Amino acid sequence: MSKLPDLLRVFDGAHLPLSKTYPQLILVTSALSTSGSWILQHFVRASVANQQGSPYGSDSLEQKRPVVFVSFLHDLEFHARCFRKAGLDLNAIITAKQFIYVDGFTRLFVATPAETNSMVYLQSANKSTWLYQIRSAILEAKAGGISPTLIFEGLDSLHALGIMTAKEILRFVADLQEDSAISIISAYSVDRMLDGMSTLAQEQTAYLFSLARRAVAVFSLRPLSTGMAEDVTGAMRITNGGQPCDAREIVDENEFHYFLGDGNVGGVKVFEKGHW
Amino acid sequence: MQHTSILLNRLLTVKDVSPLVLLQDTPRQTAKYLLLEFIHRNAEVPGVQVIFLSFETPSGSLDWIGCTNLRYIGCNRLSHEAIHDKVNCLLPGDQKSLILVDSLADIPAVDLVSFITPLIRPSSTLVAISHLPLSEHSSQPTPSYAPSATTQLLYLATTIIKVLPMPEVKIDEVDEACGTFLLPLGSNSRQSRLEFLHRRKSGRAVQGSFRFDFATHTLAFIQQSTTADESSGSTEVNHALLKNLTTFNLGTTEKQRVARDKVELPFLKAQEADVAGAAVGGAIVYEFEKEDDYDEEDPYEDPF
Repeated sequence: MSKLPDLLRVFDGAHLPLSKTYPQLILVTSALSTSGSWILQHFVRASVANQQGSPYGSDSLEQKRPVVFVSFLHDLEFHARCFRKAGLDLNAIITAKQFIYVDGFTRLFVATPAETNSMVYLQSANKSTWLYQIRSAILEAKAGGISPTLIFEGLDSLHALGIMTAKEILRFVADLQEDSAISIISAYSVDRMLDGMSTLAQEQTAYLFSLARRAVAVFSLRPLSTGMAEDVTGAMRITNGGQPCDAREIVDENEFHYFLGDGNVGGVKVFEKGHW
Repeated sequence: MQHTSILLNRLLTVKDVSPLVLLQDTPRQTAKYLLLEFIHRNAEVPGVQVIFLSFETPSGSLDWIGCTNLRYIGCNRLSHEAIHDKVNCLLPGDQKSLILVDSLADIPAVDLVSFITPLIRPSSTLVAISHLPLSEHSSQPTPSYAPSATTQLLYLATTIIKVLPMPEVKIDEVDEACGTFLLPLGSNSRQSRLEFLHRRKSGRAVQGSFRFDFATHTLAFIQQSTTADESSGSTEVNHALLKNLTTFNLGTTEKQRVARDKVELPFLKAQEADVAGAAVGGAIVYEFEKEDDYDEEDPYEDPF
C-alpha cells in the first residue's frame, strides 16, 4: 500500500515523543516554492493508517486516530488526487469516519452554496459559526472515543484576506486545540512576508513566532539555497518548538532533503543530505 | 560570584522575594524550562502557593511535575479583571506565593502595566515571560516621548533574566541565505545560558551569567573570561596610543599593574557576604591605629 516507506521511517516514534494526556501542537513552515501540503498529507496517512512508524509513537499501534482536516488553500479534490498517488483511498476513510474535511477554500467568498451536500464549508460571511462548525466536526470524529488529529492548512491566509487578525486566529486555534489530541498547522515563513513595517508583515511575524513558541516541534521546509536541483525539491529541518515536550524526552532534531515526484508515478522521497 | 549564585538559587526557591522577575526569551531559546524550574523547586515546599497563569500552555501539560501546590488558570478567554479576581480568591491573605505568567505577548501594550501591577504583592514573587522580538510591545506608543511597553517592563522589574541558547547556536550562512524564517538546529534545548540582573532594595544591581540545565536542574556560574580579555586588550591598546605622545612615561609596567590590583579598596569589605548569603554591608569598618588619638569620653554623654 505504501509508496512512502522512507518517509515513514523518518518520522518514527523517536522523532516525536508526543503525549496522549494533553493537546500538543506541531508547526509546519513552508516557502512559496516548497509547499507543505505533502507533509500534512503524510500526517493524515500516519494518523489513520495504524501502522508502526507513525509520528504518534507506539500509542497509535493500538488505535487509529481520526483526522479533521481544515484547509483554506485547497479543495478536497486536490488532496484526494495526492492521496491516490500515495496509494490511500480517501473515500474509504471518509466512509469509515476516519477523515472529515472542512473546506474553507471553495465557498469562502460565495454567498449562497450552489448545491448542498454533506461537506462542511466555511464562509467568510458566517465567520461566527466557524468555531461551532469545526467543533462539531471534531466531536463527530471523536464519536469513537479517540481525540482526533486536527490539521489546519493555510490558516495564515485569513489575516492576509482581512477576515481575522492574527490574534483572533491564535485564540481560535487555542479553543479548538483543547478538543483534539494533536494539532498541526502550516504557515508561510518567507522573509519577504515577514520583513518590513507593514501591518501585514508584522502580523505574520507575530503569528509565526507565536506558533513556534506554542509548538512542541517545528518542521521547516525551504528550497535549496544553492538553487533548483533535478533530484532534490527542498530541505526539511525538524527542531524543537518553544513548548517543552515532556520531562524526559525531547524532539530528535535533524535535517533532511526531500524529493517530490511529479505526475502519476509521483511519490515522496526523504533522505539524509547527500544520501539520495 | 558565589554571592550571585546563592542569590539566584534563593530566588528560585522563593526564599528571597523579588516582586517582579522578568524572563526574556527569543524564538531560538524558550524561557519555559526556567519557568518549569521555578515550579520544580517549589513542588514540595509546604506553604508556598504556586499559581500558573496560562496564555499559551495547554492544561494538563504541567501534571508530570507533580506539584501539589500548583493552581492552573487558563487566561485565554478571561478579562484582566477576572484574572486578578481569581488570583485574589486563591491568595486571600498575604501568604508566601509564586505567580507565574507564561506569556505577556497576548496582552495589549497599553494594558501591560495595569495587568501586572495588581499581581505584585508584598510576599509573592511574580515571574513573567516577555517574548522578544515583539513589534507591538517594542514600538513607540502614540505620545512618542513615552517609553515602549518593553522598556516599561524593564523599569518595573526587580530581576531580569535573559535566556540565551547554550551552547551558542551557530547561525549557518546557508540558513541566512535561504530567505525563510528557520530555527537553527539546537534551538529550544533544555540547556541555556542565563544573563542575570538583580536589583536589590538598596538600589545596587548584581549581575552574572549562568549555565542552566533543566535535565539535571543545575545552575553553574560562568566566569566572565571574555570581559577580562577585553580589558587587558584595551590596556594594551591604550599603552600603544600613549607611547610617543609625551616625553613622560604614562604607561604602567606589568609589575605596577599587579601591585595596583592588589590594593584593597575600603568599600569592597561592605560587598562581601557571609556563607548564608546575607550581606553584611552598610557597617562602617574602622580599625584604630597606634597613633590615633582615641577619646574615651562619649561626646554625647549627658553632662549632668
